[in-house]
Amino acid sequence: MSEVILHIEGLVKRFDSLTVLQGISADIYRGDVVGLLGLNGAGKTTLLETALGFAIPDEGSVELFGHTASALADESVKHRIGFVPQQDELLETMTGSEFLRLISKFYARWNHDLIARLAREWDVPLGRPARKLSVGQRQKLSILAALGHEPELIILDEPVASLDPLARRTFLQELIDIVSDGERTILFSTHIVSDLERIANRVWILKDGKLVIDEALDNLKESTIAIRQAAGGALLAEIRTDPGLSLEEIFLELHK
Amino acid sequence: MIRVLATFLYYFRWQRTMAWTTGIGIAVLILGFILPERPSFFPIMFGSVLAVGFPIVFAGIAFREMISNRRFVMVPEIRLFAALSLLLLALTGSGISLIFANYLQPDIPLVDPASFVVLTFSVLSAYLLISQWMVTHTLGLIGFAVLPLVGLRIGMSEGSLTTGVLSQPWLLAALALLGWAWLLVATRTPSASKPLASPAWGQSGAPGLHNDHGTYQWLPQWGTAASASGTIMRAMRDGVQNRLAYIAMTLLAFPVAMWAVLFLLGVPLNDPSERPFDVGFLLIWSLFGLAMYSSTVIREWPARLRYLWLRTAGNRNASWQRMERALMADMLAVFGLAVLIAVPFGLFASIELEYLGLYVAGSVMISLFATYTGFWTRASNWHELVNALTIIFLVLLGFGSVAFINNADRPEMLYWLIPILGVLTLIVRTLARRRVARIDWCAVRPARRLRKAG
Repeated sequence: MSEVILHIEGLVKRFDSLTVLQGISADIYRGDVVGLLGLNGAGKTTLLETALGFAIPDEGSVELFGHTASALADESVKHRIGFVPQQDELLETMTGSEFLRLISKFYARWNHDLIARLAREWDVPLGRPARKLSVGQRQKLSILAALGHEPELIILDEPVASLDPLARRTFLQELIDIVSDGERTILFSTHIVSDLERIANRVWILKDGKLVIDEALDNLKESTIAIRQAAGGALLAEIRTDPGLSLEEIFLELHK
Repeated sequence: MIRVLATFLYYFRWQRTMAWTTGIGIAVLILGFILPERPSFFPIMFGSVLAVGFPIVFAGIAFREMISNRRFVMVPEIRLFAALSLLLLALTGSGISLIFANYLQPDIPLVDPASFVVLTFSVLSAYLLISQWMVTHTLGLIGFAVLPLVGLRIGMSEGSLTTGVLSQPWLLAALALLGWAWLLVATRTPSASKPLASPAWGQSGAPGLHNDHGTYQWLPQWGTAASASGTIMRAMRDGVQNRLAYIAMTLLAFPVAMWAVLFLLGVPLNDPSERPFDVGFLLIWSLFGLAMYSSTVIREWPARLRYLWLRTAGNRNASWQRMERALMADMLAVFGLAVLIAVPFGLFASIELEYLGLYVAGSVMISLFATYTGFWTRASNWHELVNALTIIFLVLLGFGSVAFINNADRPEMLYWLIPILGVLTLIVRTLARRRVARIDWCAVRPARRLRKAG
């Protein structure tokens, strides 16, 4: 079995009295492309950011490359991670090139050729200050900033939400190329189910803070899916999926 | 009228911390009238600053967003109503000044109460109108800088000029009304270019003193060797130039404005040794400006640390140390600028060395205290009420210090300010450090910046 990149065990995350994540357990292996689905407020962003170590779990644990995520200290481990946040971190007065140059200073390795090529293909105006970019252009720039150091694990929080269809297609193709060697791992959240179907080999579905589905995409469409109750892993329900059922239909079925 | 009031009130809902400070200010103001010794100066003064002073200070730039018709473009007539509610704010401030006109009358030899109110309206109008353009236009910026200096110049002139200006309050009010009329007419015409959405200082694309990097060209370009970490944390190009620009503004704006007001009112300031109250008042108010800078601008750093933590070596404690190093760079700038201000102050105003030393030490201490308090409350992700109470505490500290200076029998009491602040700073630093060591960046997210679409 390949290396575990991300290991989540009994993760509980609360904000005051609200429990956002309820006992989530899952693993991501090297080469996996995991798509995360869930309704608004299901806890997708909290799960991704807790996986990154931004939050300290109230219960359970999260390990990235074998290290406790929230206590990550080793720079070499951090440099194996790329992150595209839902709300970008661009600096308004800096041009795209200046921002990328700034970010590149934090990494020992930076693939200038890759970034130049992607910027050209995605039509990102690198000479313009961020404040003059459209929302979609800002998102493209954020993605470039997360890919430049060629991370082994890329976590993306709704990366294609503001991209036009053409940019979305080229971006997804780029992700497919990136993972084609089987060495890179991707975890991304999205609301566009067709995108997920295109590139993911594994699907996570969050419902009410519980990871109710953690299945390989192929299995999901062709079997009876056991919906697990997160804490303790007890069976909560079962839905039967037909081979002809799309992921979107499965998702809707689950939220009836 | 209801829609004007609704827009006026929206300002306080929008700036939620200010809604709390205003509410508490109104309560304190009312308290000033029902206390046995009526009217009670301290609560009235303090309540007025909280209830009206803060909203006026920040209103110009905040209302600009509504008046420039960007974010609220779908709300019919929003620009007109925003301009009218800004005028309402100026009128409210002038109305409050009536209390002081009556109460302070013996100390203001040059104007009668009615003229005082009219003059207040003129000054507030000038500030609110100019601040509409202050952030992005050269003329607005110059106007903002020149306004208190003109007041100072007029106030310092012996006799005729001061008397001449003060004897024409209605003329000044007429000019102010002309300015309001201009603004109201401007709101009826569509904006020529895409307006900006309340940009931060130096972040405008409008023609003016800015270069492509959003810094002011007339400042020497020292900041080119910017630190990458500092730039990420400050959300602006880090460097000596930007640090100095911010700190100089906060150090100078308050004392110059206050000095101008006192001079204009004819309060004698010629012999500071005889009037320690005035000198202390000026100096302490500049400290208050620094405290505001620290507790509002630098306060965002703990949230932005997440971008650094993800990219640099070390755990959360290491990130704290990184943040503290950046803070020390700012404190060095505060110290240097305070010394630069204190030297000419001491030479030309014959202020005793102890006062100047106190001013320099106070500048650094209050900045540190306010910053650590800001870090603590921000990293804790507390309710706006806590932020409001923090600001109120800082203002109380300023008022309390002035009260110390005003005590002619015990002026040395002021020197206790430094050790007291020192102890408080150490306590708050410990609390802040503990919070940052366990900071939850899912809850403490960096502030969402308003964008200008291309």
